[in-house]
Amino acid sequence: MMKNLFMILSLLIGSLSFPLIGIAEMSSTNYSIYADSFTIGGFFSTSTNYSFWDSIGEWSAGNITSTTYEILGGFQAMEKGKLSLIISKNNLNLGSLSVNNVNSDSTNFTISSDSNTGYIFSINSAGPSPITAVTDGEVTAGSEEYGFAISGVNAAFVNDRSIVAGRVLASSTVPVVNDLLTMTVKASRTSTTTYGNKSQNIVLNLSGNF
Amino acid sequence: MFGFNKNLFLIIFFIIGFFLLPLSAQAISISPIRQVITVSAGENKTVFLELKNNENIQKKYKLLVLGVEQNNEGVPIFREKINLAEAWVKPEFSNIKLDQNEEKKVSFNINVPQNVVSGNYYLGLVVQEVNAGSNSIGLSGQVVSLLSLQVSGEAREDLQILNWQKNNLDKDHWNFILQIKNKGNVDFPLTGLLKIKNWRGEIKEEKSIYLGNNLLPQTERSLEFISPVIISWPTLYQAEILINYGLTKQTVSQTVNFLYLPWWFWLVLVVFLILLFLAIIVVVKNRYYGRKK
Repeated sequence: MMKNLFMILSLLIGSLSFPLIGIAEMSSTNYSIYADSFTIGGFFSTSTNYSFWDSIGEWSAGNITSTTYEILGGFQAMEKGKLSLIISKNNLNLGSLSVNNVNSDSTNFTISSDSNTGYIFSINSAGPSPITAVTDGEVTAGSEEYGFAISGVNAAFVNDRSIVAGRVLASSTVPVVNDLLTMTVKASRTSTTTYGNKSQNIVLNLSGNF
Repeated sequence: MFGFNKNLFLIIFFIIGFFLLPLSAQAISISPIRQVITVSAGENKTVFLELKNNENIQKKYKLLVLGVEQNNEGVPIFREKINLAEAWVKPEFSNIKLDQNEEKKVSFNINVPQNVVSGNYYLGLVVQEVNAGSNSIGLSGQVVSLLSLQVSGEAREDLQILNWQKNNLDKDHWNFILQIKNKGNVDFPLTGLLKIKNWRGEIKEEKSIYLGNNLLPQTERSLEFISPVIISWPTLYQAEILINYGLTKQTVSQTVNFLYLPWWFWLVLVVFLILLFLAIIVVVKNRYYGRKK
């Protein structure tokens, strides 16, 4: 009887003491965390707590000096949540251009980002401008100009801009749900504009912010 | 010759210009949005990406690994062949078909070569719809999961201020130009503080400056910010920019000296010079007539 009681007590003490040691190590404020000793984040974690991501930079660093620190191997973490993009129309058609008006066509983008740093939506690559790109902020009838406008709460600008790689269309620094943007591509011509088939392929890029 | 004029001929050709094509759409979501993994040189690891086709038809997607760089404004640009780490990460498939509303988890295998320099390497795990191409304006959407691949070893944080200057925008505003460069091998967050001091070093104004998101290694950033004129007394001032950055919590600062001479100062100066001139004339006259007497 006494022997069994002794064994139960030993087991209880033993099982309680190990987690206590673990907690003590993890609460340390220095950076000597050797990631192989525990794993957080990734698909191993069900956490959706964003503050967890905020501390990641610190958690993966060790032995900080005045200008350097040591990256310790074996650490893995991620910002869970989804990033989604809906493009309502993949092909835009400007029809036959006229000297009397500006031709245009539009598409909608719907963006959702669970990231605590929001999103950034930009033109990643674009073929050469089929006719002269707009430079004065407005595609005007009677001039040879080609560009686009973007509208929406998080749109990056309000006037007409050229379609070039690196141009940001919209961004947010907070999470968004169904953030709606409308892109209107516009073209106009003069009586001397070279005629023929015109086309351009544009790759748009949606990512979280760094 | 053919019974219709030249203008009509041109218009017909322009109609050909931007053809009408069947409408198509794209809807894709990915998870996670970003991830960080630390590996040692010579080590292999795997990361995953969950994709979902939110459309009601089957879609084909390309899986890519692209390098990341930031332009001067901090905008990430995802391109091929800009980061040697692109070659270390391979998706398990280069193309994938997803049925309507189908979700799939795909893996990206990481093989870090031996003798790789430590530091952070930034990549984009990209999902892009395969488009048939377009005779008009074709749009393709890439959705990118950010991967921060940290190779174990020394991480060096080094920020340099390349340019710091103050210009007068108008009589009520100053225009500050700041150019910085991350000369280290890891990215870091930045916070800025602008201090306006008088010639005795007393702080007349202090305000936080937003310097943008994390600055990637070997990347420059140009910033321009406008501040209202907050001083009144014409004298010598200093504009100091103080930047705190990184896990090592370092600070870098630079100061530019400038004279503040508001419009009323010139008015006062002109009036003063006129009065001085008059006073000199009066004195000279008095002396001249004094000698005569």
